[in-house]
Amino acid sequence: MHAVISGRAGKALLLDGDSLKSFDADDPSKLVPRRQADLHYLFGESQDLRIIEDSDLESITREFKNDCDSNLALDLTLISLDGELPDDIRKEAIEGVDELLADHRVVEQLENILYARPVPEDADLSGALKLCDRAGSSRVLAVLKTFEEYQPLIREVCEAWDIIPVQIFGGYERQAEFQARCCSGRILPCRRRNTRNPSRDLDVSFRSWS
Amino acid sequence: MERHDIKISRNPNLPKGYRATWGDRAKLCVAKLSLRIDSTTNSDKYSKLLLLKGATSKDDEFVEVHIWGPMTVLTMERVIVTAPQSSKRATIIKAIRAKLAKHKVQVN
Repeated sequence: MHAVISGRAGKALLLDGDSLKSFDADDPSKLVPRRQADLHYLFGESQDLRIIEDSDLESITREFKNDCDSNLALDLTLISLDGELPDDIRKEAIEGVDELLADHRVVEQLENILYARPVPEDADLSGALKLCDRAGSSRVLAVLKTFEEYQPLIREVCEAWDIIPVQIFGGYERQAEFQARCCSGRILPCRRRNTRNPSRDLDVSFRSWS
Repeated sequence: MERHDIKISRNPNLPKGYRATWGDRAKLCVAKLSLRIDSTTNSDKYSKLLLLKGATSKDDEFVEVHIWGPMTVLTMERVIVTAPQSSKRATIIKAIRAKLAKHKVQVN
């Protein structure tokens, strides 16, 4: 059995012999028969399609759930950082992320995205940290605190990345694609642990794939 | 997936005459629906001409609109939300509702 999964769309497509079926993140037990013509609409504009070959339903469902949870964690984290939103919604988002961060793979994938760029100026990181404290959400608090501490290094790495001539990648599109793959952790994670010198681990990561 | 002839492309290979820009939508509708329109067809019949439900979704007949290019919150007048089952997704919907309300976009 093969599959195409998208955590962003919350859809998984199964190919078993000639049969095409899909299922949804909200209800993995409900398999919907599909035709080739449906496929353009199934995943919409999602850019995160992942192909899994020669697998079984249990493993595919597990991978799919992980991709969905990682996307959900990212969306909820962005909500928690949005100072324009009411505190009760931001707090609810933090509680949701905290549950998802019990899975270490979700933590890793969330950090891979967050560490790709410095936090935008209009993001309310200090407000989010206060809300984490108030909600007693220790996992999110730890992730965001570390993220805050790493800002100078993230900025340093991004500045170094930005001065690499775009021709080296073969154009802006290829550059963006390369960076997206690095961030997704499928080539190399943007954030690598350097156990000997944790304060320089982003630097190490950058050198390894530049 | 290519080995199994499963193609997921954002550029479907439509035959000529089956796709038009928004500016030329009238030409597309004339090409597809002119035989079903005569001088007695009122404008209140147009929606049923544009979407004709078949016995199954495979048999539906319709003219479909795809939106390309940049969109902002100001592009929307009204948004219809289907309630998600997961409570975490419901939080995302709450945030979207709050954002839309700030820009006076109606949410149902």
